[in-house]
Amino acid sequence: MVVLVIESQQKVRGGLPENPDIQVSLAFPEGLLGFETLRAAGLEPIEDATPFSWLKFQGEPAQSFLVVAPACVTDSYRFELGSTDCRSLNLNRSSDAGVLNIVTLRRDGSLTVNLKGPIVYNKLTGEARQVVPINAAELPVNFPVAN
Amino acid sequence: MLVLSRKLNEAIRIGGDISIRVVRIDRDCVRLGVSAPKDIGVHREEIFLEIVESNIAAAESANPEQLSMRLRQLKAEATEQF
Repeated sequence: MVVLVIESQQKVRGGLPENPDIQVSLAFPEGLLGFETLRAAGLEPIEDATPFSWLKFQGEPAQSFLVVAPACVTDSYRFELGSTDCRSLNLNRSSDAGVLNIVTLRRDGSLTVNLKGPIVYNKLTGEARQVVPINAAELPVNFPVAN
Repeated sequence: MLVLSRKLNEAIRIGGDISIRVVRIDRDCVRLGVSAPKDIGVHREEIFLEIVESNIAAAESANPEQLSMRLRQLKAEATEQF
């Protein structure tokens, strides 16, 4: 039985630092939820908007998502990764896991982050997956990004 | 899809270690008890649907120009505060 606990507890103030643990190419064998045909993605930091990055999926049509590392937007984020997700990502230790969260620009101009369905990737292999953590019910899907 | 009928207090088993039991039946609501290993996520379907909706909203909002402009604004505001 494997449950990996993934935590990010230090919020990086000011929104200025680089995204930690950036891996340029990620492979999503199952796409994203609702976008199951997406496969290969590149992660591109946005120069004038750190710590945000573009997750750019190749293909026709190409699709991009704005993403951010959770440590840049919240100081206490903890989720439990189930055994199916650990197996499919070949993850045995939480230190090998990288985490990105998808950002939405709302109509009122505010930004929210999806903490309920994080993207987890294996830093050693680049395999990636949008997961539904075991404790998903307690995680917000529209977490506001403070200015 | 496999469809089974169950009465109150009857259960189904999935694999060796998951069981789902009918613990209460109201008029239009069935209460289920799920026993599963701790390393398996058990969720209401709505959680998946919420994430799908959020992904769709994020994809639709991912207009690079609009977003870059907004991110620059936010960053400028943040810099003013420090």
